[in-house]
Amino acid sequence: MILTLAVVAGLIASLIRHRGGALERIAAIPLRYAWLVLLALALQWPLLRAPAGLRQQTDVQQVLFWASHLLLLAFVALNWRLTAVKIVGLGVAGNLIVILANGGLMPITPETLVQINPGSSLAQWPAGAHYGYSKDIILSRQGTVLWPLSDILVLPPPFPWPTAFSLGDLIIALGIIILLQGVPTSLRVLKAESGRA
Amino acid sequence: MKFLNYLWNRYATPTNVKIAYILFILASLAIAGGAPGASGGVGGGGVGSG
Repeated sequence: MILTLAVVAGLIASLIRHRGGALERIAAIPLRYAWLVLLALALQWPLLRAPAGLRQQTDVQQVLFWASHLLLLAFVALNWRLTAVKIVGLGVAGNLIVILANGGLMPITPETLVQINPGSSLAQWPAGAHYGYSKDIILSRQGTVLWPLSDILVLPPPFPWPTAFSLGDLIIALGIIILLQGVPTSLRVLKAESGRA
Repeated sequence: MKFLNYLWNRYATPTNVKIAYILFILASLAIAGGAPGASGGVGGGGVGSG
């Protein structure tokens, strides 16, 4: 949710900054191989639809999840000339590093889950289990490798959609907001010239 | 149907379609790259709690 809000925030910021020209600038963003992102999301879908349970119950979904990150990294590499995509890539890499360091899912502590699930208790969130309908695995802080990169940031209630997210998520959000400000004129001219060629 | 055709002809300009496509890609990138990490209530009342 936090990152989809970044799309909305980026769009609003662009409309305020560039007024009538904002939409034209967004339309001119020269994203290449964007279908890689859609394919990556499709590969993640089974994990995002898996209910809470033992980690071993999501083995196949996890393999697809890892494969999806290869597609995301390929998308970043193929659009490397865009500064905002470099920032997005930094966030994706940050998330991927902590995911791989912890066996393949994004760690989240029971304490964080209690924060975003008011009324629940620590006993409801046993370490080692997959947190349903997410990319997260429940791990104690001591049991988490690279804990600062995991889902430690929290938007608690009364925020309408209480959410935990990572530093990598924040960096991705920043990249998306910057990307939605459009591309510099020089890049748009280059794109137009390559279109004519 | 006629009304939908009218809306399509009125608003589905190449530029608008491109904008919608880019916003869709960025929303997908947001979901695939980071979120959804963990949202309250989504995990379903605790693991093994029924």
